[in-house]
Amino acid sequence: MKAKKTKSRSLGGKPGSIRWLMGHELRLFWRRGRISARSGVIVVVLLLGLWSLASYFIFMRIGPLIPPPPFDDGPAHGLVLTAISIMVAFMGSVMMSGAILGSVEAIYTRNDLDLLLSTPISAWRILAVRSAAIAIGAMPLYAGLLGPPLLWMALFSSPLWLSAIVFIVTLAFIATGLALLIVTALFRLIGPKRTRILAQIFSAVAGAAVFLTFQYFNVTSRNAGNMTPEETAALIQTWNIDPNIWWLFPARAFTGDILSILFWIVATALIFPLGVFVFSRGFVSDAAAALAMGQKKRVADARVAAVRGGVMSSIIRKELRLLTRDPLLLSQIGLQLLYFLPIGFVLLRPDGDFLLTPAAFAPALTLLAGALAGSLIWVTVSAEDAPDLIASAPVSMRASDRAKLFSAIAPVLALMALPIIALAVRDPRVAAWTTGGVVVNALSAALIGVWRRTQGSRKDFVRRRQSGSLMSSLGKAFVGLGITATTAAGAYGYPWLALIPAIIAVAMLGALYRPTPQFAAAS
Amino acid sequence: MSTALKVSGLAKSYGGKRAVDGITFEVKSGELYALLGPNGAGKTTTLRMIAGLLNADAGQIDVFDVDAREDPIAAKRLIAWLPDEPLLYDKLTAWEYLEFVAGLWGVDIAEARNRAEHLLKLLGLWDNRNDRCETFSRGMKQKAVLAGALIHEPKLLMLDEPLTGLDAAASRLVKDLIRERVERGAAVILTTHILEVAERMADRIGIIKDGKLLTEGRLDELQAHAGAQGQSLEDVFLSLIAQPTAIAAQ
Repeated sequence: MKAKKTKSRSLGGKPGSIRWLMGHELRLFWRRGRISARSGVIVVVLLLGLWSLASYFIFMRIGPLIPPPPFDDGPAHGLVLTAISIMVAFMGSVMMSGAILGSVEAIYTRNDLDLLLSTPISAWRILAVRSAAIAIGAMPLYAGLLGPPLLWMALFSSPLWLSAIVFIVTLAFIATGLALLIVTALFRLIGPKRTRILAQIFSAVAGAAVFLTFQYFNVTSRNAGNMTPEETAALIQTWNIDPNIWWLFPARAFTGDILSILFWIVATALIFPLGVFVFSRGFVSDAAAALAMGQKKRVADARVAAVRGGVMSSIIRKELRLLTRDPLLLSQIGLQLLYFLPIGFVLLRPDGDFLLTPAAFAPALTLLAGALAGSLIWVTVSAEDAPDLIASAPVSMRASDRAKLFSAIAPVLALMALPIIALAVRDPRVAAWTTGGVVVNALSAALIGVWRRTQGSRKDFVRRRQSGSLMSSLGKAFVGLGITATTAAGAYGYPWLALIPAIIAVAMLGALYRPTPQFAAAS
Repeated sequence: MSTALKVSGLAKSYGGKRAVDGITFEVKSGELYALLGPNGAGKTTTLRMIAGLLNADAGQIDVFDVDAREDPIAAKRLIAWLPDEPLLYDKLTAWEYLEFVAGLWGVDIAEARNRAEHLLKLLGLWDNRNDRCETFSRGMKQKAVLAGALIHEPKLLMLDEPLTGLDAAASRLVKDLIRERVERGAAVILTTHILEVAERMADRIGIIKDGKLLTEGRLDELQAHAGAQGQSLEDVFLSLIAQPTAIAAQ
């Protein structure tokens, strides 16, 4: 028999060096996905190539029309820099949100850090590389999306746009440095237990803050999109933003102002190492405190000891307990709620002049119910911690699934009850359509989760917000859109029109059906 | 025999609870020391402090005369730590994992490859060397981690429940491997709940409860301490941990 060849690629650099450790981090980062490395390269190259080509044709035409930087003259430039600042703040907040999660995960789950820290390599070096990996991990999305357009803008407008690429790279490091400082400060101030929860909330809010603020102004501002060029010019003069004002310096750095970009690079060179230094100094003791957190004896809940009800209620009780006792999971699920807040802003309009009628809430709530139920069913069915235990119990899988289905849908319906009651006060007909949409979409998302189950872990959900296979995610999305369209058509008073998306949704749901597998020895 | 590990007055608290309370013991080169105790006794915390994964609140740790609290890097060069849960990278192959671990300890690449091949063949993982660890069974993972612990030829090997998840043949293999390392002069500290393993393999045994070392010595010394001559280690152990800590420690 021919001996198999040993396959291995060199990590590069001297073993134990920063370059070598970084090679290890990047290798793991690259292999994190489900597809093979070769397929990954093909997909990335293909997407980047297509995007580069598309953006080439766009910027070949509009590039010469874009005024070249620097933008340092008058209120119009001030407005341009303000718009860039909002984009930069959005990118920075999302990057920082991810970095906070990454550093909290490093302390609490540690994973391979136990192995790495038990080696003769200094903790500072290991954590510096891990932190840099967190920063680098935040870049691909923005580098991929903005990189090709910026390159073409450098070609067709001004080479100064190249500094935006440097800016995005350094922004990731500044965001990571700040995230490390925030996590360390939280640990010192409020202790390990609260840090974990608060960091999750902080991360969610940091990620959504700029988006929500932007949406607030977008939804609540009057005459948006209806202004004439003269009115726009008058508004620019009214705002009168000085392009040289201090808080626009990141935007100036983004647009190639040499002094600002140099200052920005210096700030990165200070903030990132400071964050790593402060974080690594306290890491071992912080990790020890986090470890101790899990070792504290808990006072036994008297209810746990009492065995009540049948199989169904036992499973439901267990699922609801697990859900409510996992603040990390709840915060991740709750994050989805944040992105629906802009609907609430409509209600906050000071003049009460609603652009949206109550009917507009029907599709929004329907979509939200499906998203929440989809996440919860994945957690209860696919991320079951002890599938063998359930399988070895004298209960059929169908009964177990029914209980899990109920556990996933009940919290969603409870959450939706309040806005539906509020809608019923204003428009009972819309409330009726909304109730139907919410129940059907939550149920269908949960059923798809049951039919298209994939084994996973709760950690996956918390880390990557992963909730099922591609087929299950696509199925939930398309069926959800069909039901949402049905609800919207009905709520807006076109019940016959509602039939078309309803039929499509039912057909797709039927196509996704897969019979429930049976346990080996199901009773 | 030279002293491989000298621990004195080691202490660690979590919140208000003393997890390790002034433990003192020594392990010599070429000696297998079994650290036994009930769940939550402080065994893993003690080993984690020696491995440099936890900061001790008080006490001294000397690894081959290197002060591990003063110079943890130098101490870590001599130590291998095998945790009860295998620390593996699901997305690396067994070969890549060993190459990586060897790199962490600065083992020469050619030497590392030789050792990796030897260990993988010895542990029956050679045919799986190009498979990602995520495809491994618990026993295979445990063997891969053990290979990782041995690849830098540690002088002090700390094994936390090394036989968990192994079948009879693999368990025998690992026990032989540990014994062989001891005979070659390495010091081994082992924790296990399988007392027959400790009874058959260990040169000396330490029994720990509530963070305190109740007693230590050869099996006959423990039997004498417990007043249970001729009885098995299991009987001695159960008899000692059943007593209140203060009495047992006398």
